[in-house]
Amino acid sequence: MVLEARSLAAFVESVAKAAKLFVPEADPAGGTIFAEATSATAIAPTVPNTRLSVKSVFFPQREVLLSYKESAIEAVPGVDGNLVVFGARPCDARAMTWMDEVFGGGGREDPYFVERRRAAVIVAMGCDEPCASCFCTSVGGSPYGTEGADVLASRMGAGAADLLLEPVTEKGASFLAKHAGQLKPAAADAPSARQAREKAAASRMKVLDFSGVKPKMDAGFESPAWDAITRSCLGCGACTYVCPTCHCFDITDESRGDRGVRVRTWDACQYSLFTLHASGHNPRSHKRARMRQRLMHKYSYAPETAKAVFCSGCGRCVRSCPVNLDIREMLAALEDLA
Amino acid sequence: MKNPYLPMPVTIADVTVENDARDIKTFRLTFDREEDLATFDYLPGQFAELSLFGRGESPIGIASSPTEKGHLLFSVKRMGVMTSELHASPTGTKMGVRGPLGHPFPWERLEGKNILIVSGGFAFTTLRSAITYLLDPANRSRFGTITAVYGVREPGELLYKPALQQWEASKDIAFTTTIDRPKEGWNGRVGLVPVVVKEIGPDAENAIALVCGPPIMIKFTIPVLVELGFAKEDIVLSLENRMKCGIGKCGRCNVGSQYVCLHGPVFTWAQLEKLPAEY
Repeated sequence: MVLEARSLAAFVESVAKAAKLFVPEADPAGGTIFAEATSATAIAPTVPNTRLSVKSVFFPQREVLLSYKESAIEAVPGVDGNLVVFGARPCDARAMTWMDEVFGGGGREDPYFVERRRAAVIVAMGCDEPCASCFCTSVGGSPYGTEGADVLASRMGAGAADLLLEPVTEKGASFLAKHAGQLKPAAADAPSARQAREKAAASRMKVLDFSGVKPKMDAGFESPAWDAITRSCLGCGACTYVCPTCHCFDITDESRGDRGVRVRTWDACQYSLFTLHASGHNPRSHKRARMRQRLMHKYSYAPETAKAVFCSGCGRCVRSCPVNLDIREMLAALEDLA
Repeated sequence: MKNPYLPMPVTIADVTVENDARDIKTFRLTFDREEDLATFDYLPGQFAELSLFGRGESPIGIASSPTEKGHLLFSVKRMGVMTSELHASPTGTKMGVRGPLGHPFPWERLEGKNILIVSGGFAFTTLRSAITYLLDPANRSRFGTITAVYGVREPGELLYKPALQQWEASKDIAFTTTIDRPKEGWNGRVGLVPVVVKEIGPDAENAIALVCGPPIMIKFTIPVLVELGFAKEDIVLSLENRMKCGIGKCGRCNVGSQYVCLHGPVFTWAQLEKLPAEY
């Protein structure tokens, strides 16, 4: 199906009537983030990618788990209605499949995350302008990848405003059918033209080989290389906040009088307080250990427990680091370990 | 979908001060709802998150045994915001419990085995649960000999004193209490836990050791057990790490690829030896 530029406003209106619609919106703090749609203007490919990943839709930075009065639970927030995310990049959509493992696995489902995911349709936006910091093709992804997406959207040509919408899942097909009134049938050659654009986009990225990094990390757990790659790290944790697969969180109580809320907020393995025991002992007391945790969680532990590298190559950590640490260079330095 | 973040309402039914420093108390909690009592299905070695709204949660090992019906016991040291508030909470206080969490001691493997229990200091709590479970008349015949060594720095640190006297007098368990250095008025055994274990010299044949204690005790006890002939798979330990969610999502208690809350807290030495020493 084709979403013509002139039908965009009607399409957005139609979608927003049936679901909460999240699209990349300008953020006062800079760049774009996913927010509830307020106008049609925001549905366009964002370059670079949104500053925060799509995880914020399903796993908000701050979320109330329950509210209480004195010692009793007063209310537990639920998920209200359907969600549509329009314009997540394929790297983000793919990352959400791994978050499904984290929040849905381990024998205990996290109802807040899982229910939002079940209620959501993700329309992924094919990527024609990979940044210098992007490396999705080095970690098994693609600028037009469909893993985790329900619908793949792509521009009909360089600079074109019309979007080709192709269903990926049954959920995506029924979403398109529901809003068919605002869509036009696509020409027969549209998919092959899309494939040509996909190839062109992928060819703009250098493919790096990280396959040898896990055994090197595992064997070199005590290697001085960790010190070398971490030396300039400020421990600010920006890399973890922008990452689509970083899922660490804190749980705290916020009280006022005898009422309050138990909230969860994003937390980061880059902070020393993250693992500090009540006794004062800290198993990860040095930033070397904390950076090792961040890289090994994604490239060594996740492949063991979830059968996937928890890195989609979105490049946000590279773009966000205030001291220009580049995960690709850090991994390369570890691969060079003797 | 059952929401694993919602604490079950419980009431503090009793509080016991355990040590001379008065900073360890045992809380007896009773469930406010019948269905929670019926569904809180646990085995010794597991833990739970204790919750006081406004102060947060703390992960604490379950000190009671499932054979002790109708209530749960938690021995808590006063450390931070939540545990200080808990220590200030009198009988009748309403609070919350989330659990049971984590894996228990390997009870299926323990069946038919001789059992050695080694513990030092405050880490004795889940082993109180284990000993009580083992000595229950309905369970005792399912296990071989039971030998236990429990050491503290000085007598004032001993937990569960009435139970200790019973166990020391019992024929069903060879229970030894020891203190690190001689102290006036102490007529019992003196010596560090690893030394006492070596002196007692339990037979490793058909035996499994459950070991809980401070890192320094663990460090010196494992070589003694290995020397006695215990296989690495038959040395069972319990880890602690900072936790929040308790269900393997919040990301902070991992040791290598293993979450202490989800895959542990009980691990064998064979498992731990392969993991990085980040605990």
